Amino acid sequence: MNTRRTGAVVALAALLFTSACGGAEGAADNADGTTKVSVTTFGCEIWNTWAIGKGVYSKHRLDVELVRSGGGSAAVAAVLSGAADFGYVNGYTAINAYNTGFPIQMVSGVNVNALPPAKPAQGVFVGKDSPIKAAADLAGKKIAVNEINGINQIVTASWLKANGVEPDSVSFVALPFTEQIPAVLSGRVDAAQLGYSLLGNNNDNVRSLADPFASNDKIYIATYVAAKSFVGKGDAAKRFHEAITETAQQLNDPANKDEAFKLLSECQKVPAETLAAQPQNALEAAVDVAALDRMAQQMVDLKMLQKKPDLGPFVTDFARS
Amino acid sequence: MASDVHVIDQVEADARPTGGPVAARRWGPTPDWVLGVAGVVTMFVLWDLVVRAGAVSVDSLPYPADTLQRAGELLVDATFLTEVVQTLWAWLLAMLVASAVGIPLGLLLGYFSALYRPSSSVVHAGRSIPSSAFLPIAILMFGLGTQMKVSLAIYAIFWPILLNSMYGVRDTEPLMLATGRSMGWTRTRLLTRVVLPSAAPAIATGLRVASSTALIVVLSAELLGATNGVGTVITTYQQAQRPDFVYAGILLVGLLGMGLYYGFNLVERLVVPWGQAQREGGR
Amino acid sequence: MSGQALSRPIATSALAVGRGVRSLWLLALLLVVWEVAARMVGSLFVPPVSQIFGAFVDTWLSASPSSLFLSSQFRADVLPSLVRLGLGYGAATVLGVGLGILIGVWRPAGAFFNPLIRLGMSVPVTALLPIAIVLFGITSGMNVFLIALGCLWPILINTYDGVRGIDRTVVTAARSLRLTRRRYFLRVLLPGASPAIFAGMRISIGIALVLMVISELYAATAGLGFYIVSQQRLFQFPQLWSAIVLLALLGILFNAIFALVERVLLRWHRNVRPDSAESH
Repeated sequence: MNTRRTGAVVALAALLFTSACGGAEGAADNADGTTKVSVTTFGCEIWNTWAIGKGVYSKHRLDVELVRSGGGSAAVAAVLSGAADFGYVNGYTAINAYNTGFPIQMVSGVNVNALPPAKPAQGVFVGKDSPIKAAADLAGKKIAVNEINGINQIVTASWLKANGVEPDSVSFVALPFTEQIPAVLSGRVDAAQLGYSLLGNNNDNVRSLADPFASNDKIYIATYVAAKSFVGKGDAAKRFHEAITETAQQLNDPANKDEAFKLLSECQKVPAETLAAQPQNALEAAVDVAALDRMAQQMVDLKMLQKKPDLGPFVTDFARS
Repeated sequence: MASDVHVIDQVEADARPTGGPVAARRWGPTPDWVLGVAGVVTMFVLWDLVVRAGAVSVDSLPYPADTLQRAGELLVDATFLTEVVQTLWAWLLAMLVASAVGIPLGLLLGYFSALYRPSSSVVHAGRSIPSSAFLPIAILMFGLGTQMKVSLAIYAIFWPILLNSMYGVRDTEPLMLATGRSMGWTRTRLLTRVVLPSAAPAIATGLRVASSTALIVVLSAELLGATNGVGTVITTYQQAQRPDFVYAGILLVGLLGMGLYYGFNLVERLVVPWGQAQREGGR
Repeated sequence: MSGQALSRPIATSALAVGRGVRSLWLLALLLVVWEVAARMVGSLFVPPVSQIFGAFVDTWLSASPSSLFLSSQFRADVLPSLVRLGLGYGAATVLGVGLGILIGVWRPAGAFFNPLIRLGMSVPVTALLPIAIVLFGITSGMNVFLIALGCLWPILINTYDGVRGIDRTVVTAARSLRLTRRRYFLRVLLPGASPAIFAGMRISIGIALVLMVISELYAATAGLGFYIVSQQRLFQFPQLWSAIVLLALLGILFNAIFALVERVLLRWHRNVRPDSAESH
């Protein structure tokens, strides 16, 4: 049917890719011995502000350039097209992309869910006076998540399932994080799944039913993937993993907390005290393949994957725990 | 309307050149521009009353006076103006690429009748797909920058430009072509002297339609997820829950579209003055 | 049955096939080029046509005649979209034609509303998405509202142009015949303006499809646009493209219906074009 549009899009794709993305092919070594790499970002990630501010990346001879991506699937696309070297994606998106057949590998983990006894970082929020008290009350209700089929939806659906609610009976609605709480308060949706750090000044207007992330096993909330061809070329991917590992160690050291939040607050333009008071996801650079495997199984259970892929070749050797 | 005769008079009056003085001479009623201004003022007053009456919360619909003030602030805001330039740049790129490909291709396909029918079925298939359907895939392929906006806009406007160029050539008077041929004109001469001038009004219509469409597509892409352009300013204010700025932005974007529309009409009138008839009908 | 009677339908269908081949060979050729190019390049974003059509059959069609050969996915995502499209488009047509005639006939109203209409046309309806959510919540009403608003302007402005563009001699003749208001409306105004009204309605059906998809990309729980985004998140590109093919088929279908209706209703009109050149 839409043949001519291939004409337009394929020709255009070829044209624009060669003209704009051609330059980003592979890792280029700088004169000072560092390697220039581009890393996708959603905004201010605490490990990036730290690693750049404290020179962890440059210690590992990496000259990091951050490029914004609109979401996990766009980050995968950026990695595949060579527009970026490392794509910042959640574990589910990474598994999904790998399962689709994209030639990518996971080079590092970053964020995993905060498991008890840590304070919950995420919540399923309802209005303060809402009659919804528990997961079971959500059957047949509308729940806001930021992306359809995204990590928040998968985790919430798994949590519902674990509590005896059939996820298919719930409608997930895609709303940007900033509009979720207003939608809950005005009754346009019944609940919203987001992080405490995104509540803004609505902390007192809502309450959380549970942290759906905490009721799961370990979940890789944030990871980095790279094109297979990039991983095979030089050791930049290995050095990147080592830089993340070192950054995670330093950030996990309570002595560095104040400075870390100071750096983050300069990036986010939010007072450091506010940031420090917000519960954080945990940091873990090594990739636990068994945990990834469980995540893939969750997606199979939710009928988002037809069968569980073999994740062995997906995770690079240097990134495994 | 008071009676049929009155109605008919009104319609008849429209056939005359429009404008204040003519209307004033006949009936002595208010000139058009006064009514137009009255319309705009009425809208603002109604808007104000709706908010004042509390029919809609100020959080979702601000007062018109505030909105106008914010619009004024945005107009002198350097960041806002930079984003406007980004939007216009994407618009211009899309227009240039789509016309550079669409017009010559359209002339070619329209000129050779063996190609006309098969290519129209391709065109109709292609233009039946709303460009918005490609947004998710365009974001994957082109990221969130100018390329993505431009490629979507090119897709949306390629078809009207192509189709109008094809029609323009097809509608060339056969008599004029025959006359040209009988005078022993070469193919090039026929093309430049007969085909092009007669196709020009249709091409201009295509470009005018394309110019509005391209702007709307670029803005929509910005509103739905791009990293630059005036649409992103609106979403930023939306997320910051500043409806006064949001409405001010929407108002200015509307004025930008109007400006492009009237600008295009003017250029069209100057460049293709013989295309008066074609100018009717389209939007 | 005589041989002649038999050969005639055969000849007719042969002619039709010939016509089909003549007008569709380029489309077929381009599909083949797509197939070959996609296989050679191996792009994951643009799968080969054969895969897309495979996904199309799997996703949207079923073997059960009781469901009109449409799959449950079709009922879940396409039907809600079509209902929204129909309601929004219907509302826009009623409002647009009504208001367009009013302001076309009554000159001061035309002058009064003209700048507002031009402004309304120029505002991208997408910008009103958040406002529509505030007004209508996360319901189909939101989608219907956006579709109706986007479709309103072309129908309105074309009706207005159509009414104002009625041939002067016809108007003078009508006046000399001293037609009643009702007769003037039914015999002169409506027929005179109908080609332009149809042109506006045809432009609007394209806009309706665009807005149907856009309004479902965000804050929807079902629909074709919703399906497209969810498949994008799952990297299911053949399925995503199958939805785009479905949209193309819908577009072609709507255009064909329009061409037919126009041909029947506007037979008398000298320059009805088989297709208009405006779409989003």
